[in-house]
Amino acid sequence: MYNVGYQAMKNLKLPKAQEPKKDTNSMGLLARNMSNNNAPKKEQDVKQRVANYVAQIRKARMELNND
Amino acid sequence: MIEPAKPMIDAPIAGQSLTAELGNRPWQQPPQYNTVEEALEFYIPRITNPDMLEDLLDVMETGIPLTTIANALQSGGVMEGKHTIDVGILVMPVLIETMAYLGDEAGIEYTVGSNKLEDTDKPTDSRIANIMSKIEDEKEPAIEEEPVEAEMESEPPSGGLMSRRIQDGV
Repeated sequence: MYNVGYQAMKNLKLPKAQEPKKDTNSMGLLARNMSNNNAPKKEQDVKQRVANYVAQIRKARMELNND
Repeated sequence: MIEPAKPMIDAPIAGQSLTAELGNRPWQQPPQYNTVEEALEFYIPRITNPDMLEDLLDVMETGIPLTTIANALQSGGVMEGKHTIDVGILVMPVLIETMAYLGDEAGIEYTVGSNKLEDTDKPTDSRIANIMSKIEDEKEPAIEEEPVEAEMESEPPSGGLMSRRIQDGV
């Protein structure tokens, strides 16, 4: 049977957890530390946004089950 | 041989969609919620509403898959002109996951719709079995089991007149 909900879930690519990047310290005395997070974030695709929402809820659900 | 298709008795009559004035149906109007976020702001409070939550948990407990419930929810939204089909399909995974969360929180057993949905990072059973067999092969060579001689139970010789004669060596 063609299950739309199943298809929608199957085609969802969940984002993988990313480790926070460390700031690279420059060697100069007066140089300031440039963080890589200053770059403006690109506007995400709708599918990515939905995948992020699902990932957040799933994470909360897993934490709920592990307690 | 190709069998002729069965007649669809309950299908709409050709041209039935043209019987109503164009634009009279809610789904023929511009949608109320244009984005996924707006649609979620409509659905999530409704799902988590204590009055509806109780009914929803009852339905989930009966074994109806969450994918089916989510599909019914979003189809209703499309029919009411709340959002488009595109937004409805995009919203569905979030609805399914939210319902799963609510089900876990309430401690009920439910069906998602497919076991494949959960734990997508988890290897399949067949893959686990393959790896386990490889590990066992590397661990120790296969030991040939000595054939166990089955003890032949000798039947007590029957002494009846009508009993079958037992030949030796058979």
